[in-house]
Formats: sequence, C-alpha cells, structure tokens
Amino acid sequence: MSAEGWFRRLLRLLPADFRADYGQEISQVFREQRREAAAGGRMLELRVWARTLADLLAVGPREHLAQLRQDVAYAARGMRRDPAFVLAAVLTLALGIGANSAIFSITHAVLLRPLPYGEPHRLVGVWNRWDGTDRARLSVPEYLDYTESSGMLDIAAGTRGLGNVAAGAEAERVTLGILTVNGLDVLGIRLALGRGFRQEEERTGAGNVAVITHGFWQRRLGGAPSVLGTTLLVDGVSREIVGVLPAGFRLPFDFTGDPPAEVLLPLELDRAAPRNRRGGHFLQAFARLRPGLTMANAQTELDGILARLVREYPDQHDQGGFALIVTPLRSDILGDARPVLLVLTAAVALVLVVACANVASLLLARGQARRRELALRTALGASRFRIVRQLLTEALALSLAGAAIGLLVALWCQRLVVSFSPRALPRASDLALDIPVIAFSSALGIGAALLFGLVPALQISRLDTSRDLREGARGTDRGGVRMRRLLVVGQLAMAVVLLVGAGLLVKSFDRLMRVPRGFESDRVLSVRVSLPPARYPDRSAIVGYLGRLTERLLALPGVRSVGASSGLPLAVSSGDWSFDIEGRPIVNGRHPGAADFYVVTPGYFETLGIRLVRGRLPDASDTAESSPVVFLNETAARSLFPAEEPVGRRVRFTRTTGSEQPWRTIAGVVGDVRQTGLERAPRPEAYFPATQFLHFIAGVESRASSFVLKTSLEPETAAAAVQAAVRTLDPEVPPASVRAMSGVVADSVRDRRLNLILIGAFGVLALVLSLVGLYGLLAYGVARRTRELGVRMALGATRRAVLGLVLGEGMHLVATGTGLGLMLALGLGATLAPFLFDVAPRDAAVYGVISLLFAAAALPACGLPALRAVRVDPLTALRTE
Amino acid sequence: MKRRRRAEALLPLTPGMFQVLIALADGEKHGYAILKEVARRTDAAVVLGAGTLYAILRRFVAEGIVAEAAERPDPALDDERRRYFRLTDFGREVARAEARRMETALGMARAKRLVPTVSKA
Repeated sequence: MSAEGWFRRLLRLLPADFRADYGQEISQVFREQRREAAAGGRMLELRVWARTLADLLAVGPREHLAQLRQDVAYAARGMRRDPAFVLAAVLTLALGIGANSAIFSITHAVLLRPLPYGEPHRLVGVWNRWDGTDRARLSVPEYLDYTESSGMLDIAAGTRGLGNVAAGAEAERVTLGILTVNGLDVLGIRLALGRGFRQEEERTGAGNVAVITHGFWQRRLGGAPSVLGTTLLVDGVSREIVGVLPAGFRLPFDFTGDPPAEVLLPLELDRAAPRNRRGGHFLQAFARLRPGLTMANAQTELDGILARLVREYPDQHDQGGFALIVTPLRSDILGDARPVLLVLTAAVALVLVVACANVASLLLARGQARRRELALRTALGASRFRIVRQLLTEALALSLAGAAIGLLVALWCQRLVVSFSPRALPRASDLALDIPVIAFSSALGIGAALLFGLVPALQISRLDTSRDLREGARGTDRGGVRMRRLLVVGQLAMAVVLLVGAGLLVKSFDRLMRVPRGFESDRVLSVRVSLPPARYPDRSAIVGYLGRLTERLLALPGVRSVGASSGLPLAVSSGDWSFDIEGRPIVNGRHPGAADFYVVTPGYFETLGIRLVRGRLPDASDTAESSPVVFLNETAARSLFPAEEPVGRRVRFTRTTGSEQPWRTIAGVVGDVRQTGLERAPRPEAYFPATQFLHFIAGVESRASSFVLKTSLEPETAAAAVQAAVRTLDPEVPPASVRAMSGVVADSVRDRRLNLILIGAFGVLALVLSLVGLYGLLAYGVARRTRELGVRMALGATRRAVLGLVLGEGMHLVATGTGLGLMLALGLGATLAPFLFDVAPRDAAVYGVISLLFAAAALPACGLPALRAVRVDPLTALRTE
Repeated sequence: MKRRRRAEALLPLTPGMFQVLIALADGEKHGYAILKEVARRTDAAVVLGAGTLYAILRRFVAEGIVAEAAERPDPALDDERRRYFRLTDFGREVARAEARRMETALGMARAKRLVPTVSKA
C-alpha cells in the first residue's frame, strides 16, 4: 500500500464528518510535511510519520467523545420539551425489556449456570431402560452389581423420603436424602463443616449418622459450630450429626419444585445378600466418569456388564428391550426445562419486538414533527451520518432508561415465577437480579435501540432540506406513514400469534380441569402422617394407630367421614407390583398381571367419592383374620378380565424379600382415579385393606398414610383441629402437608398455570401495545389530514362517510395484521404441542375466537380517531391552514 | 440567530489554540502555513499535528472565532488549491481576552517576584 493509502486508513480514526470537512486538508498538510522531511533523510521522514500517528490517535477519540457529548446534550434538550413522548416510549420499553430480563434470569438460573458440583461435566446419570420406560431407577442388587463391576464410573445412588425429625423439642416432617456412602464424593462436594459418610457406615446399624444441609443447620440448629457430634432423632432413631453441607447444596434428584432434602442419611447396603431378587426400582443413580473417559466409553462398558447380568439372571430382565444407559446428569436435571424456557423466550421476544415497533412508530411520528429542526441542522452543515447518529443517540438514551426501569419489572416477574415454584423449572427458586441479568438487560437495551431507532433514523434523515424548511411538520410524510403502517401490521400479527398461543393454553387448561378425575375434591382435607419403625414396628401397631386416628378425626366437629391411603391422588403414587392370576400360566417368567398398589382403610373411597363399580368397598369385615381380599380399579379389571367377571377371582402378588404373599380374592372394582396427574390416563391399580397388608418395601414412604376428611364447612377451617388431633395422639408423629384436596389439584397443574399466566400476560401486553400503536397511527393520520377532511366535508361528504374512511383504514390494518398473525400461528403452533392437552395446535375454535376478540379489542383503537375525524369542523379546518 | 457571547466564556485557551490565533492575527493563512508559523515562532516549543490543528480550526469555525476565506491556489506551493482561514472580529476579541488573562496572571507572578519585572529601556 502506498503512503497515501496508509494515511487514509489512519484518518478513519477521526469522526466521519470531521473527515468530510477537513480530511483532504489534513492529507495535504501531511504531504507537505513528508515532502519537506524527505530532503532531510529517512529518519526525519519516520519522525513525521510517528508524530502524525500520535497526533491522530490523540485527536480521534477526543473528537468522537465531544460529538457524543453534544448529541446527548441535544437529545436531553429535545426530550425535556416532550415529556409525554419520553414517558410513553420509556414505559413501553421497560415492559418489553423487563419481561425479557425476567425470562432471561430464569433461563440463566436454570439452564446456563453450571450445576453446583465439582467438575460437573464429568457427572452422568445411570438408568435402566425397557420398553415403555425411558429412564427407570435401579434396584439395590442392580446398583451393587453395576457399581462393583464398573471400572470407568464411580457410581452412587440415592432416593428421597420424608421422615419425622426431632432436634430437641417437637418432631417435624423433613425431606430426607438417603444416599450411598460415596454419594458426596462422587458429586465432588466439599463440606462446610465436618465430614461426609464413611465406607463402613453403609452396614446396617453402623450408620447412625446424618449430614445436614446448611439451611437446616441455620434454621433448626441456630447455625452453631458445635453442632457436630450432637444427635437428631430421625423416625425414632438417634443419629449423630457428622457434617454440614455447603449452602446451596442439592442432590441431583432434588431440583424439582418440591422441598429439597435437608437431612442426608447413608443408604444401608448388605453386599453379602443374594442378588437374585432384582425388583424394587427406587434408587436414582449418578456417577462420575474417571478422568479422560467419555460417556461412550462408559456406555460400552455398561453394555458388557448388563450382558453378563442378563445371562446370570435371565428371568429378572424379562421386560422387553432391557438396557442400561448413561445420560449427561445435566440433561437429567434440566430435561423438562429447556422446551418450557424456549417457548417462554420466544414469546417474550415477540413482546419486545412489538414494544420496539411501537417506539419506532412514535419516533417516526416525532421525526415528522422535527423535520424542520433537522433540516435546519443539515443546512448548517450536519451530515446525514451525523443526523442518524444523533437520532440513534436519542434512541439509546430512551432504551437504556427503559432497561433500567425494566429491571424493576423483571424483579416483579421473578417474584411471580418463584411463587409458583414450578416443577419444570428446577433451580427457579435461586433467581436473582445479578450481574449477568443486568448485563443482559443493558445489551437488550442497546439492541432494542438499534432495532427501533435505526429505521426511523434512516427514514427521517432522508430530508429534502429546502422543502422541509418551508413546510416543516405539515409536509407530506409518505415514507414515514408507510413504514408506520408496516410496523402496526407487524405488531398486530405478533400480538395475534401470542394470543393464539395463550388461547390454546387456556383451552387446554380448561379441558384438563374438566377431565373426570374419579374423585371429589370439594370440602375434602388431607393430611399425611408417617409412622416411625421404632414405635410402630409391625402391622398391628400401624393398624392400631390408623384406627385410633380415624376415630379422633371423626369426633372433630364438622367432619363427616374419614379414610386413609398410602397414596393420594395427584400427590403420592406408588410403583407397580406384578401378580399371578389363578388359572393363568406364567409365560417366559412373565406374570400375567401388574398394578400400582395402595393400602387403604374403610372410608377412603367414600370420603373421596370414588365410585363403586362392582362388588363391595373395603369395610370393617376385612380383618387380619378374615380371608385376604384386594380391590382393583376399572382399568385393571378391564385389561385383565376383558370378558370375565373379575369379582371372586383370585390373584397373588409376587414374592418379595419379606415373605410369600397369600392368594387374595378380588372383592370389588372401583372407579378410575387420576392418580399420577390429570393429563395421564389411569393406570391399573390395586387396593389392599390396611389390616391385611403384609408387605413393606425398603424406603421411607411405605410407612406413611394420607388421611382424607370430608368436612361440612370449608376444609381449611378444620385444619388446625386436625393438626392438634394428630399431635396429641402421638407427639412423635407430626402432621404434614395439611392441604385441602382442591389445593392438591391446583398444585398438580401449577406448571401449566404458570405457563398460561406468562404467555397470557405476554399476549395481553402485546395486544395493548399494538392497539396503542394502531391508535397512534390513526390519530396521527387524522391530525395530519384535518385540512383534507375539512375539504371533503365542505364538499358534502357525510359524517358517516368520514367515519367509514377512518374506521375502514383502521380495520383494514387490523384485518391484514390478524390474517398475517393467524398464518404465523398456524406455522408456529406445533411448537406448543407438547404443552397442550386434548387440544390440537390448529384448533379452529381458538383461532376463530381470538380473531373475533382481536377485532373487538381493536374497535376502540380505530373508533376514537374516527370520532375525532367526524368532529372536524370544516370551517375551522380550512381557516387554520 | 447566534446569541451574543462574551469572549471570556471561552477562556482559557490551550497553548495550541492561542498560537493559532496569533498566527492568523496578521492575515489569512492556510493550514500548513499556520503549522509552520507556529513552529517557527515558538522555536518548535509548540508543534501542532495536522489533526490537532484542524480540530482547533473546526471548533473555531463553529464558535465563530475563525472564518473560512475563499479557496484559492497558493503560488508558493505548486499552486495547489487550499482553504484559507482568517480571524473574525469576535476571534480577535477572544485572542485579546486571552492575552489579557495571561498578562494578569503574569502580573501576579511578578508581584510575588516569581519572575523578574521587565525594566523599561
């Protein structure tokens, strides 16, 4: 490159209009200096270069800064003159940017932050898989075989439970984490205090130790450092506290909206026990890859291990397609969150686009009013670039103000989301307005300013100086109006898309709430109790307690009926248990029947209003001595006895580690209940009378029961008396989850409700913003055309015609926007499909209703300007011009 | 309409600015001529770069201190066309105000005997 070329490049350090003014002169001077220096030799010429470079490096930034200062001062002056415009623009942007910041803060907390473990990228989940079940947990024998055979993975496992925990005074229901002794090491957790579990503490009886969370330590034990060595009473067993976890710790399976485990206990394992009974899949396993290995390595190894085990226990792997898989732990934890957040992010981005379009429209209108002023500046020598930059500076100032206020909006949105503690958004409870969120807001502000500022700036700066100086704001503004129409149509279309989405979710929610649940939630209160093994060692003790509590609860005023179950619809469900049917063969080691199982007392079905279909309900005649019976739900009866009478047939549940099960006569069939979720079809279920239940599975929940009470008044009024009754019966059995059944139902759909509220709110916001945009455009049009309207009316146009003129223009825009929006929604609807229940993404009724609603909502936005047009007085209009 | 401003509002000037005003005091000059005159008169104590010079001129033009004279060739320099600048009345006022400001400052320094007083010859 020639010296001239290099120099021209250097000149780019200067602001463009400075360059335009004096670039040539500066080059000229530089040339002279070089010419003169050339006579003095090479060194002198180099010195000229160096000095010029230093000069431009100093002058460039200084001049840029000076211009910016001027632009900002100018923008501030302009805005002070027009506070209504500033308020409208800033608030619009605050809503748009704030909502986006809120959703980003959720995405950041949930998806983007690393998991709170050491080297989390090396952590994986280990799962069984068989046909129909993507991820099944492990049983104890499976866990032991896998972990003892693997050389590539350090595998740990655990489960959640609830326990009665007493530290000194009253017992309290606390979520427990029951973890293999290597669990904390596998996760790479450094304890805040004390130690984790030791290998020998997995032996039965040897592990009377507990590790507590930081939160439990602070909340229950006052945060005293002397806590190590003190004891907790967990389900009647005294345990020494040996360690305190760091703040913010969570188990890998503890990221749901449910309260996380606060007390960790070692999982007791008997490594010498026979491993030929491999049922009871309750352990969730996670593992750390040894250094340098990949998931594919581990998968290959596990395939080999499984192949050997299948050969060893062929009848224990009879589910079709049995496999053992590794998954990234991250996706195990965050699995459901990604699609939810994706949809929310897309929805909220649309809101921002609508908001930007609004502000762009405002800027265009304001730009028209400022034509004269800008033309004057151009006449005084400002380049187009300078004008564009000036306008962009103003846009940026608006946008950053909007972003700052938007943070308040974000804070409010966050509170709303946290109050729902959505299950699908693990870690949402850790939301914060932290530096990444603030940075995101600011970046969004800058991006938005470019989005809504650039087009108007280019449009406005296309000045016809002489005409604009003459006509100023009254001049024609074809380009600006065309642009604003496009913006309004786009806004309306986006709002329609969001509203259609909200409409689909509303209809889906409505359908879901109308699904026959199979039980009545009206005026039913539920309370859960868990009986510690130390005080209630056997069935008769448990049954005795259930009977006594039932009596006490029935004696409370306003209680009509009482029953209990090991489960609770929409809240607590069990796994399935296979059984034989008398007279049917076992084929290939597969038992003919399987059902989820619950243990109930008489009164349970009546209290929840669960229908009797055939036979009878459990009653007082079912005792430990009477002949064993079982009750099936309709789904089980239909699938197992499609053409036969089930009542009177006999079934026998498979042997467990406890003992042989007896043959049980099917005494009755009850109606289906939505046990695991309103949207899930009922599964086959079996109910045992509590008096005849001989089987307790390892784990904590099997000793727990949910009592349900039918009350004559609102159930909440009985809550205090129920709690007192439970506490007085046995102070070591605290009442937990005292909730109205209607609350349980509402809780089971809280994720959907949150999605609905958010998308709905975004839709309404977009609707309001786009209607404001529409109104603004029409009102502006009327104001600008006052003279034309006056002439028309003077020439005999009726009011009706004028009304039609403006209304027609408005409704034309609305129709175009709606049509465009409906087409977009048709294309995008499929992304909502996973969130819909019993509603097609292209549900015609929803599209129709939204279109009508939209037109109705748009009417005032079109009508008000139209009315103003009608009120134009021809004489005044003509005179003012 | 430009408001009537007081020259004092623009003070103090940087040495570079002041030298540019001095250079233009005896007639209009183009940029390169200003640079050379400033360097010569200050014994190269004040050496302006081309960028700095035109930044100053641009501001002076905007403030009405300097005006551009018509563009014309400079016979001394290959007859290339150049832009000439001249001091306005307001610019002259500013230069005088700056000189007065410096004189006052110098007077203070003399009163404290920081610099010797000049005896009249």
